[in-house]
Amino acid sequence: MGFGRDILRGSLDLMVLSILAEGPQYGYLILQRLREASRGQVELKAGTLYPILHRLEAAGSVKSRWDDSTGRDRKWYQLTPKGQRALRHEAEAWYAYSECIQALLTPALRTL
Amino acid sequence: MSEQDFEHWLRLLGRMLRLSETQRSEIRRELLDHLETQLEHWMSQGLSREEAITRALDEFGDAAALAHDLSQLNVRRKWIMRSTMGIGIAAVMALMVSLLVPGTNDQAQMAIGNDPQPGTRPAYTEASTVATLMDEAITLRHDHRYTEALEVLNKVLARDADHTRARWMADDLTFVLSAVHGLKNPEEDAATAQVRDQLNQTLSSIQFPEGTIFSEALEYLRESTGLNIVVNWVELEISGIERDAKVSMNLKDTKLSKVLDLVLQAVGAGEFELGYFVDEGVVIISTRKYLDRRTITRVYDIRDLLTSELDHGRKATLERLFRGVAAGMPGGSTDRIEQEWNSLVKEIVAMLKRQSGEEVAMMIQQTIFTNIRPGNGGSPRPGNGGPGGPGIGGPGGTAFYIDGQLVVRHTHQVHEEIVELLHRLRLSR
Repeated sequence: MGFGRDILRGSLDLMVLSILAEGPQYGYLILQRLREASRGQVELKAGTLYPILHRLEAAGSVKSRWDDSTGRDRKWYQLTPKGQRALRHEAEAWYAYSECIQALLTPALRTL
Repeated sequence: MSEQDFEHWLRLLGRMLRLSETQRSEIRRELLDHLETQLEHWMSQGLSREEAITRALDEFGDAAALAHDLSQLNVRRKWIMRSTMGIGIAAVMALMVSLLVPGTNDQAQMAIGNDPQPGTRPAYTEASTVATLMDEAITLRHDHRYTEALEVLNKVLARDADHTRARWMADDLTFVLSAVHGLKNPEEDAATAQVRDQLNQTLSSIQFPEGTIFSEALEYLRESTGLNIVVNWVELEISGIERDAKVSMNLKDTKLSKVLDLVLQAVGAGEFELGYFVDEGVVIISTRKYLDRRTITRVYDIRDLLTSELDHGRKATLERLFRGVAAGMPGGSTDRIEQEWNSLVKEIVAMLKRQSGEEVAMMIQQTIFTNIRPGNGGSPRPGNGGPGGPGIGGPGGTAFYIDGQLVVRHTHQVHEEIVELLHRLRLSR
């Protein structure tokens, strides 16, 4: 994985929610999309993604349904209204966090 | 690594998931779909199926860790990890240890940081009791005393509701027991089922001193076991077997069914072999000749052997297998060679695991039912025994396979053979 584990740890939920905001997807697609969007820097393992999806579903942010319209019986996930609110909330928090770090880093780097 | 390994991994995962049956099967379904999509992708890039599966297993990671993560949703105790990405190495090790070594589950729980509830006994004593019980359960299971094993496991779970290995074994045994019971003819009543259980029990000592006669031996068995035993004396006397035929034996720790077999063997011989069948709670003893003529029809529901989320190929194999069985069944049966039978079943089970479907179907047709020798009626005659439909009938026997049901009209002996085969096939899964 390109990014360090610690950086990613806090934001995986956010990433998964963002991808689902693009539309309903199944696990394999989500992994692909993550890879694309991060230009190969985020390569999640299936064993990491599915627990996240299940946890998000248990929390009500996401709902799943089995569908075989693609020719194969698959489990599709999509954001719920609660999930949309969670995404907005998390995104705001993340931007605030990011600004805070930037505010600290910029002057710090100048001194190096 | 091979397909077999993935199946094994999936089974392992399934067993470790502390979720409801529905949730477990959904997860398996989802992971399997993911795997297959993944495999298609890699294979389209030139990897062999084997290589692709190895990569896939790497992708999925350690089954124990994944099971832990997926089961989090239902864990009651305090050691819920907040982060799904990092499981402490210690926690994984503790989990693995608790899974591999019976009885250490409590230590493992402590290592992960679980505080014992106030007022319980200290962990060490508890662990050793649990360990002893687990040993007992394993021994019982080994002796095919499934119901007793399950009782002991329930004791373990009463002391430690999250004892993973006890849970696995209990689930497994419940499945085995229901599979075995499921094989009984749906019309078979509770009384007959009870008799079967009685026949399975072990007698610690049986002594028939020199001079004991057949009817005395039977009377003794009736009194000491409570079994209803009825003898078809007319048939026996026609075959020259008298009530005062001599029986003597001195046995220890033998199953009742075996004792009965031995008594009947001592009394009848060769052409006038004796046998028995169970009907409405009664054990009926008669001559082989009579038994072989007497056929009953049973329907075996084998859909559970045919359904497999994992492998459509295996389902097709098993369907072909049973069609083959139905088609290849000769008529009548007399003796069966125990060793050959055992090794045959082992081979079949091994083949099913390797999923070489064609071989299995052919093998069944060629060997399994030719081991059952033609009865006193002579060599099998086509279509003689009963209703039409696909199947070779010998004297009094037909079978056909339709929609997951194996319909067999045959002698008791053949039915027992089928019951045993299905039982072992189910155990092997």
